[in-house]
Amino acid sequence: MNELMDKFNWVVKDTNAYLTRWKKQTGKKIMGCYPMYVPEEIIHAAGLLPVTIFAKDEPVTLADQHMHRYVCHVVRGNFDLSLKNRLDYLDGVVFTDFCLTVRMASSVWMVNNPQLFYHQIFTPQNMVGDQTPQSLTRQFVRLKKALEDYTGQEITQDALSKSIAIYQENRELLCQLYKLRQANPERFRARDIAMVVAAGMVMPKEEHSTLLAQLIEQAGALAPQQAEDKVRVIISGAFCDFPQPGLLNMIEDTGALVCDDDIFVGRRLFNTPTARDKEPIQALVERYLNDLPDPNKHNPDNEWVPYLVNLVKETKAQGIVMLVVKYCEAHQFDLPYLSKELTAAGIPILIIETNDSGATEQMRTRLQAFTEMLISRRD
Amino acid sequence: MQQIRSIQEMDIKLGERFQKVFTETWEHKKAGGLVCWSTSGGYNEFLRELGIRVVIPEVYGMVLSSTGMSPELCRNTDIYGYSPDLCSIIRSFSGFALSDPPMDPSTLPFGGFPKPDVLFCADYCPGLVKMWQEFARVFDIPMYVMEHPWVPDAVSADPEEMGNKVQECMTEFAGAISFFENFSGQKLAEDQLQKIANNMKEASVLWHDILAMNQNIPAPLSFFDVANQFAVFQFYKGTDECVQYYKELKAFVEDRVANTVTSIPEKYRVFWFGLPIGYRMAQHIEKFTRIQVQPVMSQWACYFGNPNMETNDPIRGIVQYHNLSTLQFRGVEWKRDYILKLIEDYKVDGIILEISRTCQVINFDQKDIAETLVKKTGLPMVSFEADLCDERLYSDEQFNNAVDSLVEMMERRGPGRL
Ligand code: SF4
Ligand code: SF4
Repeated sequence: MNELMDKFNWVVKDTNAYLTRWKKQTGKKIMGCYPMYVPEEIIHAAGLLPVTIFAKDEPVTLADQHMHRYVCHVVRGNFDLSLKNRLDYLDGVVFTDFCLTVRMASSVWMVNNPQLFYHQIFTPQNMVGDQTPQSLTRQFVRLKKALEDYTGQEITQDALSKSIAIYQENRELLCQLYKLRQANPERFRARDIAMVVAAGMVMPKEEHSTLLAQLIEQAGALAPQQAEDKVRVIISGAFCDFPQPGLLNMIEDTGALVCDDDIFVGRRLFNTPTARDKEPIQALVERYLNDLPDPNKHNPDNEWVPYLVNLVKETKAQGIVMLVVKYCEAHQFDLPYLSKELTAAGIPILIIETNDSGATEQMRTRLQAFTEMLISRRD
Repeated sequence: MQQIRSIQEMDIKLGERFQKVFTETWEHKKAGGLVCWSTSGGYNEFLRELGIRVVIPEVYGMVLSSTGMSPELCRNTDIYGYSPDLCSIIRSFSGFALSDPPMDPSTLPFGGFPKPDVLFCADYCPGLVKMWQEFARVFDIPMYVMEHPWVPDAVSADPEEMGNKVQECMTEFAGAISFFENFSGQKLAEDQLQKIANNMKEASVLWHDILAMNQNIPAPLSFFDVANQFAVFQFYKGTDECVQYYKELKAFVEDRVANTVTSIPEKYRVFWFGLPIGYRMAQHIEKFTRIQVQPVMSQWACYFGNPNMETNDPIRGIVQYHNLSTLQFRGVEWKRDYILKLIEDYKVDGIILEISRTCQVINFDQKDIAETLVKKTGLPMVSFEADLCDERLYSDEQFNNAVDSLVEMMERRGPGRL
């Protein structure tokens, strides 16, 4: 398992080196996918490598000249990397506009990185509007057409169906990994799981699936470990972000076991399947519409709290650690509602606001108090 | 010779219109009528025709800011768990909208406004959608979210893409009309929508004519005078009353131009890039009067109205009004060019960049735009941080220092008008 983990870690930590080498070896182009919700399958079917653009754990220096410091660190961070020429492997970027910050960031990005191919998908917020499915279909078809113009190659239905199948296989493997984790969370560090998932957002899915299948096999063969004193928690939130590994370790070092999650670099990536037996664009549209609740989407029939309550029940978790990216407006606006309703449902929640300064001693103290409270409730 | 006179006369008329709208909304509600809380950026003007009265809490938030009530109301929302990083206009009106037990309306400016029966939100600002969702849960009422698509530079530059965008918005608008027709049980007649569109166009032309009169030297109004006058658009948009109001305002301003009347003595003219600060408006006017610096225009004043909207198809025209003219919803390059043109047309000597701390819709791309403005015009610029309603995020000292150093730069440079 260690060897596999080393590979995943390397890909995530040194994405630049990994992708530069990949590009040299394959001669193919790389398309950045601005978090979140880019339908990568269409990019894959165009013969390009879709790669999620993450921010890194390092000080933002150049971006501050363009963006105020009260913009979320994810957006400031990934823009900073582009200005530092650390994303030079990209040939273009596809944005959605699911969040205001992404909307506005796309414009600043393109003014400052004019050499890149650029396309933006207008992702509706109203999940229940009668016109929403057709409007999203038009958006996905427009992306397909823009990529065809860019590569000079038609994207056939067959190629799209194949890409959907490749992505779906990867999602199913991640589901299996998460099942193993739920059954025996002692076996996995939250940080490692996030690394595995994030690696798949950078590597070609085919390669990731091969490694993932090996990981599942090796992990499945391990004898279950027991750690009786630990309480089970799920982590939620961290939109668009790769949560700081130090913070994930801290959650577990204070006596909690992360038995599942509801984060972008986690279950949110693979939970909702894409149907293999439907017209491909239609299947992608349906996945977006049926995807997990998110503070930037409006759907009174698919609210976040009932989803979380159910996840807690299924995973037998005792509490939720909610990671909130500072200045992530839509998420911040949801916090009073989440706290009130989850508390009413008897689910303890700890809200931790994250920024680019990493895990702090204050976070440790709060996590410790939360874990102790969960232990005393359990006992 | 310039005469200095405030526009108090129009401010009184404005106050009367405000009072009328709030009083009428209460009466409507008491008589069993429906009330909708909606957002300033959009599409609610047809509701009146369906028997639904519209309240725009954002505009009320600005009233709360001017009356000094915002800090206390923002503190209420701190207690409910809303972060001080979030929009202070939203926190201001939510401070009383969510208060439990409810606040006595008579303690609020203009007697406050009644609870909603339905909510309508355009999705140009995440905070509004989120707060509307909370209102929908708290009041247990339906809510409609209407997409308010962003128009990036690549779309602005491509007529075909622009056509698609308008078409998309028209479909969205038709969806909203159908939702509210079902909700109210009434049908909107085509001629009603046509009349609304005609009135929106006429009021837009009047408003932009009024703004353009500030190109005169001296300008008949300061930007702070203009800042309040947009409000009639918000509550009366699409009505005869709105057109009538701006006709009166135009005549009033024309008279000032003819008689060389201004409200702030004008040694230097500056462009205000940002939002007006309601709770310090009086002090800012006093300061600018003392140092003879006239803020003649702001991008903000241009958010209202679209004189170029077409009226032959009212749905198309109303979409053009809301989505196409407004600077807020455009990419950096479009905004930059628009503002450069304003700076040129209004012949300013300097720029004041007001950074509204909690409004990302406004502040996000300001840095990039401001930098180009300075590069392209060579005009001096100063900046200060503030916030629309949360006084805790504003410092008089920072403001005064910024403005004083701008004056020094303008003095050193001499008249910088383009
Ligand atoms: S972290 Fe939040 S604010 Fe930042 S881009 Fe993602 S959703 Fe938007
Ligand atoms: S964040 Fe900006 S656009 Fe949104 S309500 Fe506040 S002031 Fe208005």
